[in-house]
Amino acid sequence: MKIFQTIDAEQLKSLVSHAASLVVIMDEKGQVLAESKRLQEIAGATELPLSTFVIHADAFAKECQSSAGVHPCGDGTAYPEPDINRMLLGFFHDHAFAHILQSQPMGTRVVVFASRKVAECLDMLFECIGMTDEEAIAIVLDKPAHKVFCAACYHLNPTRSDTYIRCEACSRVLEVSTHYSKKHHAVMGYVALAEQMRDRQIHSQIETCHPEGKANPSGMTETHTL
Amino acid sequence: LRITETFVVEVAKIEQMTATVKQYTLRPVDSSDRLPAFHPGAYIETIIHTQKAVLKRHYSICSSPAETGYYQIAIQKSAASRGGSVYWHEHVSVGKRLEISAPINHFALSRRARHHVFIAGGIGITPFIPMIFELTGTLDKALLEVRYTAHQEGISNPSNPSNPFTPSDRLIRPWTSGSWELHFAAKSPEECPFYAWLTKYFPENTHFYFSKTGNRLTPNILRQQTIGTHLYLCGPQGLMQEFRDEARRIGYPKQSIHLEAFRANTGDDDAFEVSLARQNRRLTVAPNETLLQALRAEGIDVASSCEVGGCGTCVIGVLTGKVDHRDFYLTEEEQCQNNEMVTCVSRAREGHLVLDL
Repeated sequence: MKIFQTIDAEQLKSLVSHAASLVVIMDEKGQVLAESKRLQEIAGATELPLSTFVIHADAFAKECQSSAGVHPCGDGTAYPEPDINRMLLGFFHDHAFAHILQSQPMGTRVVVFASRKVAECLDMLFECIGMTDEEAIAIVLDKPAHKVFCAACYHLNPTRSDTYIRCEACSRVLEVSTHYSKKHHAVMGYVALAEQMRDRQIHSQIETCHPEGKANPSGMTETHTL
Repeated sequence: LRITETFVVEVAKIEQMTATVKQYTLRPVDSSDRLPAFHPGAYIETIIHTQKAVLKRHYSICSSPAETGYYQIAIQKSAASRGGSVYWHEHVSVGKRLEISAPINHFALSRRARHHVFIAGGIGITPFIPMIFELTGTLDKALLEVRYTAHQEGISNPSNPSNPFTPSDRLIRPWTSGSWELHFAAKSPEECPFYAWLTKYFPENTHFYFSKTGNRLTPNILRQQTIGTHLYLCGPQGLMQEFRDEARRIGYPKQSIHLEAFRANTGDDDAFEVSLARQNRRLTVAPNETLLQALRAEGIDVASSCEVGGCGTCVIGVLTGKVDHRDFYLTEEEQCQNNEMVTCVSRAREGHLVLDL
């Protein structure tokens, strides 16, 4: 799935003109985007078969967060952090739109208006049902922010740096690469070599990702564990 | 891809499948040896040294991918033969030794597909046979017979009595999965290789179209397919182009259309000139060489794979000039845009080309 931050009317028209039918999926945030209304107007004018679904992903995610509590054994053990991405994927998989999507004819195009996290989860679902990148696009609200996959401990670090970061899980210095993983929606962070660490300039470029994503100098507030 | 390693094999068996098609079983010279494993859709290059020339030809493997004790290939004696198929039919007998390459695959089954649609024309059926073995999880033809007989006698898997090939019955874990259907065009049942085998074991999946009875295979079947379908084409050029273009018109993604081309389209091979815009260089492509070869001779590294215009690995951008497109990869619409070309087969239509290199 191709992800855009914005899309103009011409691109929307071109998308519709090449489709046999159209499926629009929106979450609470995507629903209010001007582009989503414009697309429905364009599709309506062309009499293209159109199916629209609103998924309450935010409400579902909040419900999942609140279910995190204390283990019933009574010794104060906390439940692990809920894996929202996986839960969302399960939620989408059971949703009516997933079943309808599977029976759509070849030539159907899917347009998603949603938050980046929801779009990424939907992308995993699309892959499961055999769709390719050409068949779906997403228009997302959030600004692009990549995660860095630590090559040593496999932790996903939220960051905006494109040079060096310190892994929040293992504290190793990682060189941020351009090698993108569709599976993790992250770029690879290679462990910096001793030769690189001798360069004093590098030390000034190292961005530290703080645990829990709090008080992060880069302004990021999310933590992800896939 | 460079073919560097070859193996010596022996023709162990020859079967006449139709009046013009023979199936050859190739075994390692030392029968205890194994041949390299392959994925469905792979082909081998056969190399035969005759008194006049060295015949190098590509043939799809049509035996089970689980069997590495031998490979089977089916060859049609072609009226337009350049010597290869005629030599195989008239001069190759049991015991003949020849060299073959390791299996090469530009026509692999998609691991992402939920449904596979196979379109075969004539001898183009061959790469689909290992795909059918793979998707049904059967090891070889003998096991298929055992399961078929059991099914006929009602001794089938209790979890799904209507299907003799239930997942629990699989002896190998398949690399790919999904449902499948085969649409097979030929002149008549008598001239249709694998006809008896397909009608016996897979009557529900296979649809035949015989031109002698006026039953034509048309691309209308593409409209009935649902999301997650992958299309595989192997047969005459006209058939492949017709299906490829119609699939693109319907909206099939490029990644979901797979073609197997064995021979490049040919035409007048005049010399032409190209300019490399980013390098400020100019070079001439001789009549007997391709643009890809000319670029490589100049030390310009262009990635390539099939080298018959089918896979799109060697596509480059064209800034100005008219291209004589001879590939199977770009759609009609893309060819009209004239802003990219497949360097292994396409040439300049007139004047010279300015390339984005």
